[in-house]
Amino acid sequence: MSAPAAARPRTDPDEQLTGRELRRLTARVAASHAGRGAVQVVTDVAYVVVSVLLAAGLVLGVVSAVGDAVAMDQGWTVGGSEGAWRGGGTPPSPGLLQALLALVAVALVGSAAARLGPAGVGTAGVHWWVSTPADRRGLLLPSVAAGAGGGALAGGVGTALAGLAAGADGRSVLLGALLGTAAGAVVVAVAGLLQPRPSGPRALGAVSDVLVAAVPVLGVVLVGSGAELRPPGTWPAAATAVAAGLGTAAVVLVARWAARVDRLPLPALLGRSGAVDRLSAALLSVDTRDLGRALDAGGRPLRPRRAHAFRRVRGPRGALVAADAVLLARTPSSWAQLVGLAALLVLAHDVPALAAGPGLALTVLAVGTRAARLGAAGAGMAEMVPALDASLPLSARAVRAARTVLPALSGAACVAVGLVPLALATGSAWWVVLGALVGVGCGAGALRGMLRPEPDWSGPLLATPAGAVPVDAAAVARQGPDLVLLTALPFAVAALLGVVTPALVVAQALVALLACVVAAQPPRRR
Amino acid sequence: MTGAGLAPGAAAVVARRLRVGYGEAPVCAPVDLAVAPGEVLAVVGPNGSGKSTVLRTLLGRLAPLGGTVEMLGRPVDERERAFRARVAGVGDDDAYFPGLSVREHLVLLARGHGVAEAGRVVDGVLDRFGIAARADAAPTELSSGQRRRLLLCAAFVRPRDVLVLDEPEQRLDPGTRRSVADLIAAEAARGVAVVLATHDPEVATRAGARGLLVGDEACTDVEREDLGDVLAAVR
Repeated sequence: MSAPAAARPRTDPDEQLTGRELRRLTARVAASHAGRGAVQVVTDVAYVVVSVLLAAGLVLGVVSAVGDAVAMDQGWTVGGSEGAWRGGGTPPSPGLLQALLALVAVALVGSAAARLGPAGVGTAGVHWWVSTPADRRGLLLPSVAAGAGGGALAGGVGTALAGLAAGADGRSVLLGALLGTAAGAVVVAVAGLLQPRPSGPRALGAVSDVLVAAVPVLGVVLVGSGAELRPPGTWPAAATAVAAGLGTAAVVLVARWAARVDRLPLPALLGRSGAVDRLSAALLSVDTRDLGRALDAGGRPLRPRRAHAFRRVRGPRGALVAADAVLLARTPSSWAQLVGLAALLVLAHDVPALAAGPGLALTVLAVGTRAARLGAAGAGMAEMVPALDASLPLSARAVRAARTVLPALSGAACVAVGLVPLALATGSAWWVVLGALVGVGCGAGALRGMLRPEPDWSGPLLATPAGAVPVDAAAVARQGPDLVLLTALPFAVAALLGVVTPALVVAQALVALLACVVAAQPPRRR
Repeated sequence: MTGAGLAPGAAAVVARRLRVGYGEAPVCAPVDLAVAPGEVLAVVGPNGSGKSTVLRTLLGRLAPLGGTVEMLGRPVDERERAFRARVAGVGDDDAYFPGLSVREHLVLLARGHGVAEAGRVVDGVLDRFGIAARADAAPTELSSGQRRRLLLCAAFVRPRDVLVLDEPEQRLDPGTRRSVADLIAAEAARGVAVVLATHDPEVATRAGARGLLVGDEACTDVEREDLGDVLAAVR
């Protein structure tokens, strides 16, 4: 039986839509399907404005508090009466701190631009628009404008926050924001120009990651050498001229980007839409683990150059640890971050607010957690494919225990190295031991967070402005951070007291062990 | 080692009134099956009949809605070490260690199972599946057919008493399909119990399988000599 031949459609050049017309038509149809009236649109806009204002107020409050804390000596000391330590003799000047933090902000803009585009359309657009003969430039131009504007905004806000956190004066904050706005637009335009090249976004992402990680190292070197940097408020004319130059460069680069955006190949558009979709889904479902995966996606391992024979590997536990270790060794951005994190702790040693007391405890916790997460990358990927760990002759509990090894090592090594200056300054090596044990606990927490179960979407859901969320989402999300906080307790007590006692070392060892035992416990079956 | 711990004549894989599905909805009629060491069972049926769901439940990757599954004399618990040591399964998941090359992944897997001369064993299996030339590539650089071969290689570089394969012929060329069928037959000859889902009459008959036809109303046994005709009918 043969099927009747389908009628062959004929094309009419007059009926062919341009990319711009296709976009507008889709937007009109989507709006009509959504059934949104003027009142609904006004309500949505008001909701967004209020939300943004509230969030901005919250962020500004926190950043100002950080700025005040950094600027002031809080009076905390470590080392007891023999050698009280309250921070290095030459803390970084506000100008230097502002420059370092601003550099981080601009590098983060580059990192985000490399991972999320910057030009492209949504998944539906890639599948329905891009396959049509409509001009690709007309389809993509709005994303160029949004990318350049978003980069400028993110650069400006990020560098303004950097100035506030560094305790800079108002004029310096304003000029810093001006420089950051122009630099943000330049970075995004460069990312846009590199986007059509197969390895362009990856290279820019790697450079941005390394730059972020290199900032603390640079800070240690500059502070150590006694270098000073005046805040931009003290050289306003030059700062304005530099901002104008950067702004001109941004305009030229964005124009060039817009002219070439039609060269973006389909694989680049598919990759960009997938990354944006994943990030959006993680944000809407309040899945911090998937959010981390989406943002870490640029730090992929290098292609293996030298094959390992794994001759020293014995048994399934050794195989898992070796797999995690090789993955870490082949991911340069992770190495750069580990070095940067250790340098951050060293740099904190010279900042009175972070060298002792709660500031020290929080810094150690943040550094240990991030370092441990880098070591848990293999576990995080294996979590998405349960068949992988099940292919080795190990119980589920033993798999988790083996997967804890590398996060614990990376967390412990990073914190221990970063606390060496504190041990030298106070003459007590126990700070290093205590820090290493905190790192072990952070490793257990990172593993527990990576392997936590998914929220139960089949159960009751909670309506939120961002959409429905399972009622157990918060309970699931706290798995991991709970162990990290537990582990931090003895160290926090030591930081507040300013001394390490044998009892605190024993307590720290016990909670680190407890954290490892809890992390190795597989979740109960639903 | 094959069939160790089993009473003489006992089946290696047993399912009784097994109900499989998602949520509370079964996807096919209850399944009863028994596969002895050295036997090959082909689970057959049209697309969507529930073959893969049956296999996922046998492997403990999906909780049964009812009934029981035993492997090697014990209720299935895929979290147990003994289960993972003796049961090899190949599904659709791209399961490989990130950051490693094809050969490195297989060598690490073999060493994890304590395989002697792991490198030599891996090279032999890679050669058998025709991807030796891609041994130093990252799995993400392979074509879909080559990734399928890698997944099959992973099942053959490690010890196993039970082998569960979900449509092993997927994305393979005819020559490799025949090679896979011959490997399955050789596995059975060594005493391994094999359960596979397949649409390919040649793979099923060449592997010497008897069948289980999965359906909405009933799941029925199919004799070895009738399996080719049944598969041709459901295609």
